[in-house]
Amino acid sequence: MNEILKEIRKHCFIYLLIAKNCLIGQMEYRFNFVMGFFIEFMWLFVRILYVIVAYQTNIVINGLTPDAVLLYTGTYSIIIGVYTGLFGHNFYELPEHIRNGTLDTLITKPISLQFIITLRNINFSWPLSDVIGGITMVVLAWNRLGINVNIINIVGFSGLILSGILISYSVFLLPRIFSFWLVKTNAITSISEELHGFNRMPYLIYNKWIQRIGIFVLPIFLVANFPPLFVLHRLSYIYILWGIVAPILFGFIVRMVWNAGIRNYTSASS
Amino acid sequence: MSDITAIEVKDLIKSFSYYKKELGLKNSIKNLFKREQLIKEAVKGISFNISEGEIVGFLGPNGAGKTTTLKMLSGILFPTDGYATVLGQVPWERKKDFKMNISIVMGQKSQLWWDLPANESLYLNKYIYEINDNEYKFSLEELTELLDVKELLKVQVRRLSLGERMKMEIIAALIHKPKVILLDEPTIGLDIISQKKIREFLKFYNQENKTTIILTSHYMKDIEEMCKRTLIINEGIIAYDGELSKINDVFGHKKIIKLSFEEQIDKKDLEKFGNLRTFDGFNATLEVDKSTIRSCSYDILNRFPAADFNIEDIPVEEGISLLYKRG
Amino acid sequence: MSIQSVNWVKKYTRVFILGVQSSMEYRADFLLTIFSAFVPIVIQYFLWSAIFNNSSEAKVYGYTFTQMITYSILSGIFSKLLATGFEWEVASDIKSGGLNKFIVQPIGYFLYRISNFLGGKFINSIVMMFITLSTLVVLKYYLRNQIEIERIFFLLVILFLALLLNFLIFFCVSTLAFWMIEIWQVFTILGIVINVASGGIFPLDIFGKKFLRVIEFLPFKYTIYFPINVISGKLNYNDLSKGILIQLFWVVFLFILSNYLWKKGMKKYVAVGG
Repeated sequence: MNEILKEIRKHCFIYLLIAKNCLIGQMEYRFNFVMGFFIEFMWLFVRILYVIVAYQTNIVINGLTPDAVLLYTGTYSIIIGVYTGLFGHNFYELPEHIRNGTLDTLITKPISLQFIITLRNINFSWPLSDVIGGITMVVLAWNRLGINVNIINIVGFSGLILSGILISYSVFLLPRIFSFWLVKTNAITSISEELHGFNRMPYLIYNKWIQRIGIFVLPIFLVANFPPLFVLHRLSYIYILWGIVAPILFGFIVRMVWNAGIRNYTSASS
Repeated sequence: MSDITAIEVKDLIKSFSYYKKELGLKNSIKNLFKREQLIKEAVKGISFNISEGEIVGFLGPNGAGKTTTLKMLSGILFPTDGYATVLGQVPWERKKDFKMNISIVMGQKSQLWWDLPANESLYLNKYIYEINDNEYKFSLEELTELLDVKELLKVQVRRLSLGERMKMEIIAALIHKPKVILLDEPTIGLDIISQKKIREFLKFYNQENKTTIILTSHYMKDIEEMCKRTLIINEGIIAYDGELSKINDVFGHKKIIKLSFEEQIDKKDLEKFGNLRTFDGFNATLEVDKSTIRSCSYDILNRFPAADFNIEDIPVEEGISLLYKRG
Repeated sequence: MSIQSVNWVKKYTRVFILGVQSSMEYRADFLLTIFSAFVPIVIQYFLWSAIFNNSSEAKVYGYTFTQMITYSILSGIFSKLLATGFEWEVASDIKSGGLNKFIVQPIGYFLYRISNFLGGKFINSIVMMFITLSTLVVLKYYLRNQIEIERIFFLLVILFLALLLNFLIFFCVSTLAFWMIEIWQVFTILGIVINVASGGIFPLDIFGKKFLRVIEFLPFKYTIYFPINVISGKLNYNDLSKGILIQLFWVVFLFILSNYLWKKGMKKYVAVGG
């Protein structure tokens, strides 16, 4: 037990060091910093296009109004902002690391390989527009919908956002891990990129089967749907429970697939 | 050098599978549906022991299996078959205890953070390897002093020259005082002065700290200068294990006689003495059996108007390339 | 034909075939790319279903339900069909000195790129066209859409021009690599802007009349928006032929522009020494 605590402390400290290193590194390239901001701003813009269409057509999705769509899109933007900042670049580079063998030196280090590979790059410029834009949208929609600002709503909302961030780690890492088995992974990449797309609209828009798959099998709808539904009182207790259990469960699954991938890497690569 | 075994390798085998690729549009379409799997044996059952504090060189042409062997010894790769221990542990189990005591440097792969000064990467390693402050300070001081890169610690790694970067790589690999160091082509692409500096450093470090070192290279010079013992690996097997300078013992007992003459000589007269390697009328190189060297020399000097006369060993390079061909 | 021009054709045919081959090299990828076109289609289908279910009007943004669904499906397919990617290779050729090879060898870079691009699209296009055609047949008879299947022949011409047009647009974009040190972010941003402006995400009508009038003067809408509206029956024959002429105009214009930009860039490349 003591050993485990010591390891956790060590990893936390190293994570802080990594964060510092990343910040120093990115300050060297101010142009990249600004451009990174604009890239995510463009994606934010595309997401907002959907909100605009929702308002223009006065859409109603299973009782959800355009204001709820705004709340949803804001939530999704916050989560995806955190995702791109903390994980995105690492996941993107994973196939590259596998192909050119950067993994090799890291395997020999007395530190968790999954930790160092999936968390070693933190980007500080990409999340800015998403998080700022997302929070703005959430506040705006929260007001328009007249949702109470009380402890339960705030704790539930932020707790489920945390759950969404953890889920995004598993859901988006999983397809990348398959590059341990495949040579070229463009298509896998583009599919997981397309999967992001499913979240442009609240999941209630899809039919029952897609909803179930996206909630229980490949839990992409868990990324951002639960926080807004919770404050709109549209989330049953079973779903709330699932929102707590799922990140842990899928975390374990990713861990297992990761281990299988590493085993394959070390027995097949040259 | 002690007699405690640091590394033990027995019948280690590694094979890779890959897909056959044929040229042409038709085959591309065929490959779309069915691909033929081929297997390549990179390491075909090698065995050796290395004692603590030894410094051993792996020499061999590209694709001989040197790097693959190193990767298995560092735990990066699982072997297909066979057995190995490093410091009493099976590398590919990747126990923490094992990782804390070894280090691998790969000439073509950097472990340093590109956009940061090297000292930031080293500082990260301090935490990864759980080194305490004093020890870290002391090691860093010592290593940067020895490699003469103290002033470069605060320079962004991407701005360093190749040689300077390699020195930093080596510091990053040694900062935790590993008991075993594996170096894969540490001098690749470096200029002669940097090569020399790194060689001298490694040799010194080995003597001071009694660290076990294996290094691979295809520069013979690297190995010749640093390693008492050399393993020549060719096509996945060990072709030679011993001192490099004695490699020629493998090839019977030949010597080379180099001759120059004052006047032109008939080729036929010389060929009687042994294998004539080069001849242009005035100069000749003659390969002669060691046992007959005395009588040969005597006869030659007596019969021909020799201006210059030299007896030499077969060059080591030649011995190695003969070994490669034999494998 | 002279021997020289025969050799010329042979040379670039070879590059074309190389493009075809490399597109088939990875079978899993090939199938998955086709599959990934369907994800946005699914999203759009449900989005528009919800909107039309709830709307009292028969038309939204001037589209009937079936026209909108046709738009969503075809924009998904056409986006994949036209998608480039060579701009990254061009940039890396410029950055890492890969161009030197083309300076030394008797091969033109522009022709090399376009042959390789079209070759890479060849098999993909055939499969995509087959999918498009079956979709249209299903839409016509199942959803009773006002699709005139005869227009498929026009569509073939228009899509080929759209492919050229998209190649030229991105070839122009890729020349930015001569002048900018860090290029990938610019590619990403422009990629999104161009996709939105081509009508690859939503029909351009959602932006309102004013915006449409502005976009009229840009080449982008002639890659996705225009071809789809030809087949969905939103345009009459008059608009159709006018559209093709404008496409041709843009192809010629961008061809001249890209060659001009390339020459300028090369001057800088040679001056700096690669």
